[in-house]
Amino acid sequence: MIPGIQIIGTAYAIAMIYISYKKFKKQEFQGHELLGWATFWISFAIITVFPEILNTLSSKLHTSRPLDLIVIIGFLFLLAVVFQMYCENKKMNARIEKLVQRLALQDEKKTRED
Amino acid sequence: MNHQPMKVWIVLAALNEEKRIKAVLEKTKQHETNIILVDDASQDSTYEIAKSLGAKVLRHAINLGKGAAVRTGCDFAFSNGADAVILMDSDGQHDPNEIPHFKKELLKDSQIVFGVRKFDENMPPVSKFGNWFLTTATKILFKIKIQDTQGGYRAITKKAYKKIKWKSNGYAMETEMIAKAGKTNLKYTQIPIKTIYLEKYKGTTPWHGIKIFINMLLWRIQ
Repeated sequence: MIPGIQIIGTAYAIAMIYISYKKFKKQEFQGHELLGWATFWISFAIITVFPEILNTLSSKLHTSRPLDLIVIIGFLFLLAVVFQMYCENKKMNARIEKLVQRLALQDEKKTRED
Repeated sequence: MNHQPMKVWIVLAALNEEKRIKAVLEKTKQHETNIILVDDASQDSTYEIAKSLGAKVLRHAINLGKGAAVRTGCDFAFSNGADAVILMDSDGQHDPNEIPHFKKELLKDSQIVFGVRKFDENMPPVSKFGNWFLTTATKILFKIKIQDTQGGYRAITKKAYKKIKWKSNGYAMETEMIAKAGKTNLKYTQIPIKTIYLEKYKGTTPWHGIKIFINMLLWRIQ
């Protein structure tokens, strides 16, 4: 019998694959992005349904249960995502700054020419 | 020797200053006609008023902060023939009658001229402490002794600007400028300026001060 948490986990993964696919259809995601996220969510669903897959790895890394290992990996993944988003945000800010400055200079030049 | 006169431009950054900008520009024009005002996305008629008074006005499409606005103004001035710029606040805190003193110091071969406010009893104790703290930290970290680290009335030559061009977009620009001047050993002078206190204070808050200090530690190891 599949416990409730596995049903929730699988349904969540299916919903996320569907959202990723919708984003791909709307051309918000490119093909490789869809593939990357679909692989991630399928892996997530498989591990949720068959957590014993992680038994060997879990004992090698000295975590008491596979679930603990999943939580640790999830946490590390989230930290990496936050860092990536921080870097992207910094880059985006720098680009906006350059654009705003360029527009201001162009605007002044145009006014002078008029 | 053929000495060409130094072309000095005035750079002002403004945000929602429709009430004061007219008086500031009119007084400034009495001393220097090359004025560049950067409107940092004001919601009022600052841009229109400045334009009607004949100043060169640049407008940021979105608000980026004082540091970014002054940088835009300096980039514009130096790419249009300025040899030096005098940075002023557009809210009337700085007296345009002091522009000749800055020019005089620039002619004496100073690369940066810092205006230093007199810290009298009218200055709020928090500001006094904040300025003392940042001044001491600047002295220890960058071996440069500036009596007023947060004052915005300054003059910079083109050569100095290349060395100290700041990355900070907000009020940290003033301290970053000092940090870079200390690290690059630029020749600087300090001149006393009048302190004009306004009803509505827009400058460095204690929170800004803490952020500036953290940045100072990072600039030190950069």
